Amino acid sequence: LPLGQLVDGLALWDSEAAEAAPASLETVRLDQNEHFFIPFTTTMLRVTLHYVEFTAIKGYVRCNEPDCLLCRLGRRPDKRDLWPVYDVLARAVAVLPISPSMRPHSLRPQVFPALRRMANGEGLLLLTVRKGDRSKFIMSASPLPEGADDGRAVIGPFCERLKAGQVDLASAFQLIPNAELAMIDGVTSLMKAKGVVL
Amino acid sequence: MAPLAVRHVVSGPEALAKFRQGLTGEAVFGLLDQYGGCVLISLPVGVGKTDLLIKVIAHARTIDRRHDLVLVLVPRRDILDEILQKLPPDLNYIVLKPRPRSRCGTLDAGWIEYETTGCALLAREELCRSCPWRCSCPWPDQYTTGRLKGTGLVFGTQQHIVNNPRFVDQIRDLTCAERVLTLIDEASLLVKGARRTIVRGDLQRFNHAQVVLLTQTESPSSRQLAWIKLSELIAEADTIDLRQGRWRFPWVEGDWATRIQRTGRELYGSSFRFLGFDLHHFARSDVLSRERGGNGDIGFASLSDLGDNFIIFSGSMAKDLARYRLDPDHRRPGLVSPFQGLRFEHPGTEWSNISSFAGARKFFPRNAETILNFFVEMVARNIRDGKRTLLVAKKIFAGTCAAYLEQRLRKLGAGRVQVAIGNWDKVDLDDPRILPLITYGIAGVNLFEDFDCAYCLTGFYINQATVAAAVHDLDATEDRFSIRIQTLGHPPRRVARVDLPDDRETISPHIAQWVLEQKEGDVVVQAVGRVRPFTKPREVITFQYGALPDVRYTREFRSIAQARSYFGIPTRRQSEAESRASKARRLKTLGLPSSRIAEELRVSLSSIKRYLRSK
Repeated sequence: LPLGQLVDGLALWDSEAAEAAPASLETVRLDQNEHFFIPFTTTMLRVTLHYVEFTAIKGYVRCNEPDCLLCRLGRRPDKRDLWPVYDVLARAVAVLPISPSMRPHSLRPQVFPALRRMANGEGLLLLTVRKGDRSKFIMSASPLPEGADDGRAVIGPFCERLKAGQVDLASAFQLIPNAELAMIDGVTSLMKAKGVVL
Repeated sequence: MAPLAVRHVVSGPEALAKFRQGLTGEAVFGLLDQYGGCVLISLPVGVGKTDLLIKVIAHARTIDRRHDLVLVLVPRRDILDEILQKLPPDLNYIVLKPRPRSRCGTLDAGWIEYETTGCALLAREELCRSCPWRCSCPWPDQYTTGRLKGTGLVFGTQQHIVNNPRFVDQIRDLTCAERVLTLIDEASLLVKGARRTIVRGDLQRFNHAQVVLLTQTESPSSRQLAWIKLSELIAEADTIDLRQGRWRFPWVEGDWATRIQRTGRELYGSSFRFLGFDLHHFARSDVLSRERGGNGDIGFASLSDLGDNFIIFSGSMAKDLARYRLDPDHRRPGLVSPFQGLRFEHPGTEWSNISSFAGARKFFPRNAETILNFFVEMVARNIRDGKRTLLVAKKIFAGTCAAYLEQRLRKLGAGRVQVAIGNWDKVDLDDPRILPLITYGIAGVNLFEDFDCAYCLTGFYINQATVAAAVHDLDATEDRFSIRIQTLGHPPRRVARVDLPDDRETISPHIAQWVLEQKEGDVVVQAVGRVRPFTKPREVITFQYGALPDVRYTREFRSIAQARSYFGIPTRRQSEAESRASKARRLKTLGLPSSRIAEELRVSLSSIKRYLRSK
């Protein structure tokens, strides 16, 4: 932008904020409180994750396919479909991880009809999601009320970056190289026990 | 062998021979490599499942030794014996045997009581010790590392895994194996009930026995203390607690378990149940299936764990049903089914279906005479032609069908006809007048593979309660939806419907349909499959108001009358009139006057005149 020229400050800062925004995304952590999302795309990314529970790290990390140390150590791989949605409370796009389970109270069977409604060109939907106990989810989809935050200012730029390949949905989860994983206490012990070397 | 994306038909002996060439142990191991170690080999009766199973065993034990244990589990002992006879002679193996009940003699009744209350460890000590055959009886020690360590090939029946869903793990520990390949012959195991219940009263008595034993123990072990702590905790836990956290019970140590069992039986007699293993199954159960019932009982579903590498050899089970029953949340890599979409047929097989509910349990009694008279004529024709016929009926009607057929066939002059229900080794199956009658539910019997015809005298249907029980076996009460079975379309097809609360798109309707096909249609296919209609030219008549999995009917009839008309079979009245006419003509040739013939045959003179005119 040439210096000494009058510009619209809001547009300038918005565009700079978008450029400066980190490429990584937050994951949605569902709990027993209601969360509100606006779906805007049917695009998803299928990834393989491992759940780890060591002193140094606890949670899901990405699988280092095809030569993943965690796979070799017998840690179960979990498939997740990562779906970007607009989180109304956070006023940001976040990633909703969806497991492949198709049991009645899991997330996928309940998201499925919402995807169909979007694909059929229905107007913006508001998804209300909360977790029951364990892997049970309670979700409803209704038309977005008039005057509600539709996330347009965030969704538009996000979609452009997604289309341009500037967004990695998987970045919502840590990718720890095998060499670094091998230095974690619990992993080191497992490697010794199973005779696994890098 | 890549999975087939499109429906393909293997038709006739040449195509079958070519297909069978690809059925090798090496090819199956290729699938294990390619698809993450879980394979479903789905092939109809007669195509070569058992041969392939044996090839896989031989390959795993002699060529590709990546698995240090191959565990083979079959549905029944006679099937196991058949497999053992076909094994290459140089393979070493151990067969896990059931308790030798007849040898247990007078101790058997006591044993049964101990077994049904989970007190087998105590029974070994109290009953086996006093047994005169104890020294020479290998059974009590068969589940020991001493006997099993280093064994590379173990055979057993699937009852083991029904009793203990973690049986594969147990055998892996006892053999000290690193990598196990589990081979399952027939997939019916997967749709068996997985639901278990820990009865509130049983748990109270189990806990009390622990407390009593604790008071008698000077310095209880940490394991003993952990057991009582967790057992008391679970006795108080509500549904949410049962589903939360990790329930990890200590190892069931033999000496402790025996002492608890003894204490419990001293306190409560035969109403005591040892719950150590049940609580282990609970701890490994499907979390969403757990619940505390209104009566205080704990319900849960305990899924069979076949290990990391397994191959299921099945007749027609849907891949996704098998996957769901092993891994309902789809957490593991998927199951690959290379032959899904492949249909086998023999161009010489004539498969007729009577698409009518007349053969259903409810309607059969009132239609029995019409139905059986049709089959009597069909069977009589086969006997005249020297063809052997296998009969199939619902168990409840087997006796009625057998008695009626024998009586009517003798009347028709078919000679000494015998309908044999069971004990087929005691009759001459080469004689077309010997008619074996099997009941629905039979599988794995290979005595009739050279028979020419298979006729279903009744239909076989399951009701919605049976489908619902299998579909909701893994679900807690609140997650169960009503299920209906509808018959739709022309020709009619049986469809299972699940009434979901909204538009969610779950796996439940698919599971319901697959269960219906597996527990109904597949049972029929398995029964008539005894005569190998997919690989040899056969005449099959089924009696189902609906389709059968992987079967294309040659023709369908809407009623017995239509079938009768097609096959040119007269009604009983027509048949008897024809018989009388024939007798009348014979008597006329002997010179008898019409009035005398009428007297002889006990019919009117005008009827005799009509018979003679019809000449």
